[in-house]
Amino acid sequence: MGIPTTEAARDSVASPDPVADDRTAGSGTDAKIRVRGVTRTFTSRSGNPVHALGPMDVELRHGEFVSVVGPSGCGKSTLLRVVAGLLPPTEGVVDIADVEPGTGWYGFVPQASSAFPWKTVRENVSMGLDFAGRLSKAERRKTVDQWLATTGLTAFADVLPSALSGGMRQRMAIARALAIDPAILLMDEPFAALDAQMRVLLQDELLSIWEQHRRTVLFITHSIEEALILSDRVLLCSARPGRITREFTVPFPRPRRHELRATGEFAAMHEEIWTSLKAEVDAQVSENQKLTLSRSPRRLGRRQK
Amino acid sequence: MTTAQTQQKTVAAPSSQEGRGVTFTPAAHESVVGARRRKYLHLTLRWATPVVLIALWQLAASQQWINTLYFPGPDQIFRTAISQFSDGTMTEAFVLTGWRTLLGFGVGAVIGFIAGVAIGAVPILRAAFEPVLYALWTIPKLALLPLLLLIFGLGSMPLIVLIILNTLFLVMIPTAAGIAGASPELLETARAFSASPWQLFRHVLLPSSLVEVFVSLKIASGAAILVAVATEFVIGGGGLGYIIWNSWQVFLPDRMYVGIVVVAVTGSAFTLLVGVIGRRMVPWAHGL
Repeated sequence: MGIPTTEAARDSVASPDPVADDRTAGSGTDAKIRVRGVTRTFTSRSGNPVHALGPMDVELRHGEFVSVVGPSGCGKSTLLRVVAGLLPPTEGVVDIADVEPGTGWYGFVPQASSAFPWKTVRENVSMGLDFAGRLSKAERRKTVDQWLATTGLTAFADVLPSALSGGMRQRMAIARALAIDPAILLMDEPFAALDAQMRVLLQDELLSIWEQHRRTVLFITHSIEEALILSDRVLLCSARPGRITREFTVPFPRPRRHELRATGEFAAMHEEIWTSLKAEVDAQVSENQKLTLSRSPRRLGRRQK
Repeated sequence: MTTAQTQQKTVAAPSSQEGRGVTFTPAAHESVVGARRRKYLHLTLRWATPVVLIALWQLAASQQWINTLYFPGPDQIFRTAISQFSDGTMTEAFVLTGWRTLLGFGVGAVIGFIAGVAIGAVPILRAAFEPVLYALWTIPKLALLPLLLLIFGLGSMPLIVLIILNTLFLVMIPTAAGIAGASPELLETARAFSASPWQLFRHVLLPSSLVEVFVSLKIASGAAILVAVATEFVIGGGGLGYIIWNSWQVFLPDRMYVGIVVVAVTGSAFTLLVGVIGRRMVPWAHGL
């Protein structure tokens, strides 16, 4: 029996436009990731719909490093999951150009606690390659060894992640994402759980790795500083439901290092973004206060009974 | 007043000059020597406590502080044990109870594990079977013995089925909880690295459940021996339970004690073994 080909399913990941599938650059648009009119609505436990995201329009060019900055709860992590195909959009379309669906076209670096406690560091880094099973065992080992060396984890290859510090675990997560040689890196506040010094070190490491092999990066963070030092463009996300309210092109030349932070231009740009972001944070806070106020009288009444 | 010498040793200097405040000094038990000494102390106590208890028991029996007719001393029990094992009575009973327990436990554990995985991993199966299985679980398994005797007659079969039923539920429920409780972050990460459904199971769900599985196996191993002995009381015909019961009937307290000791030693050895296997298989978990 003939089963219809799953063209429709493919289209949801790969670009429906055959011209955009052309690997040579410069054909038509050079967008790598195109998010058009995407919204996402969750159903809360009580059954009410929660409008978390959008409508959102975002475009990332080939090899571009783009950060999304916004107040917590603005839906920026949701955006990342929709782009990764881990969550279907409620409305809208996500197009990723030049990738084969379902083949590890993106490397995913989640916030924290994504280390598999029962796998050694080597097995954790090797995970994406092992799942795909395309390379031979020897090739996989070679690739993993190389990334372990790049991220300074060679000495810890055969221990369980519980023996690692938080910074090492995040380096491991980055090595795991890069080992599959993805066209796109999707990073969800990868350094949020780290202390300030470790953040700076890992940002520098990420920069030097990225400057060697330029990949398209979608980077979620709540730190303006981090976004500025890493990205080509910074997108500002509004309070829930998250929308892109402003866009900043970061002019600093590459290669960049952490010394950039000390410059006046950096401070000025930081201030500019913070002014815009503050309005969103204030909006978020007053929203939360409204919620708390509307709840408190009832609580008070219950306590008095 | 603090002198310069104590100042060096303290972590927090006294906050005022009247001697009020808190002072911390290096803790003796945290030194390397202290830690080693503590380790040997714990190891010694592990063995010393039972030895002292048995010695006390022996002393009480030899001095006739206790009635040795009902409470024979360790020496007497030991002598009886040797004769019971050498004439084959106890060996035979041990082997019989042993294979019944192992068979029932093994089959029950496998069924319970598979059922637990199915219920934990497949929401539709959970919806369909969970209430029924929980209702069945609350039936005291020993209450089913007469029914099983009716169905299977005397012999090993009703006993084995009873152990299977008992083990099955004890293993199934924690397994299901372990599978269903797998970390959403890890599941998402595995999916992001394009894990197939089988890989999700093999690399996330299964390892997530192993701690619960081994804890349940440990509990179920002890329970299996309990059910075996209790059932042998009733069915008769052989096994450690029968020996204990029969020793009461023919008034041979020495032999009864041998039976009880053999059951206790076997039970703890079995549970320990399951624990050791668990620690080997789940090296990332603590406290198994």
